[in-house]
Amino acid sequence: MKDNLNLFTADLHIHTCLSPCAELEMSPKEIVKKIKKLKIDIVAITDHNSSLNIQGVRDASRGLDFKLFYGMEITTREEVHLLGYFYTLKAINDFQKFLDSHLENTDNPKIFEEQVIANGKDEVLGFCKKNLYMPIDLSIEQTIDSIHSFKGIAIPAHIDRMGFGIVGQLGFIKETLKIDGIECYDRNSEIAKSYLKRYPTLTSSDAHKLDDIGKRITIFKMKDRSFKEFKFALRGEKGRRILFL
Amino acid sequence: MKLKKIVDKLKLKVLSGKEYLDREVKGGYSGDMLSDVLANSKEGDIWLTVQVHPNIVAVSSMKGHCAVLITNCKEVDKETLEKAEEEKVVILSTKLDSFSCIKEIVKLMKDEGQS
Ligand SMILES: [Zn+2]
Ligand SMILES: [Zn+2]
Repeated sequence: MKDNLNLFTADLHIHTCLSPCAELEMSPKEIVKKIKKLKIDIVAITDHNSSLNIQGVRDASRGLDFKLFYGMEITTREEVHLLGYFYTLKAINDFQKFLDSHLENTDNPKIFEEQVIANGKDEVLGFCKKNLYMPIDLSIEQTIDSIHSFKGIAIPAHIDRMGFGIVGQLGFIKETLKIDGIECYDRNSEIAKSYLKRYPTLTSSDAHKLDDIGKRITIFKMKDRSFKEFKFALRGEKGRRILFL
Repeated sequence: MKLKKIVDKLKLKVLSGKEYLDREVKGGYSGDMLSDVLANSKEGDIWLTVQVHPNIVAVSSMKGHCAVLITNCKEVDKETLEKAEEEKVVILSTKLDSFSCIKEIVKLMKDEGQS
């Protein structure tokens, strides 16, 4: 019997007030309010090198009708931004412990915003002292392998942006790189066009302020909003896929 | 000027391509974004970078640089060095930063020009 497949909208790259470059208004409650208003089906929180605010967003979204994926935007040694998505909160928190041993203890410099840790009621729990904008000491290959060892998905972020995009930093994407897809800002950019055929391609907002949430989305054709279906869609299995507009 | 002269004067470590130190240094380029190096560096350049990723070998070989000089260097991936040997790419390293190296290299180039 054939599965009934549906269309789902997704914005899988959103920062919270924990990211040093994001606005303070990106608090768990406000983000959730905005997602509800826009009626996006699936969202992922992806702060720089940290999963500390995911619990807050999860608590704030309780009872609401959208699916939350657990993500992180890791800065590799080559200063490439790499998105990691994980099945469970436990998986991403375990990955975080591993990552912490690869992130140097440099204080967050004053030029950046405070890195605010908040709960589901938008109460400030504390401030992250490590500078989350710094690269970890692992290569992109090592980081991808680690994400996979925690059963996660590895996707280079905004490959068509010069700063921190894989093509800008490393010139090109090696065929042997074990990534599960790519993310681009603009599917019509020259860089995106040259890799679209080789990889499943996501487009997300990379929101650093509330107004940016949902500005770019990916549409998935799959059975439901589970992480498992998301994996199928990336691999193009069982009719699941990413739709191009 | 021969590459060997820079290697000797700056006391650089030769990590790959020991047999190609008689290459002629035509110019230099400094950059850590490989897309920028691909777009703007020239054949015969000595390329200074902090990147150690294997892609530097492909970029350097494509552009026909005389060598890659890794500055602020702690450690280089094994894969990078293996590829470099295959591709006949010279990889040099130093603990000095790029600016300090460039000052010395320019000095050497000027001396060479006058003699
Ligand atoms: Zn980024
Ligand atoms: Zn981002």
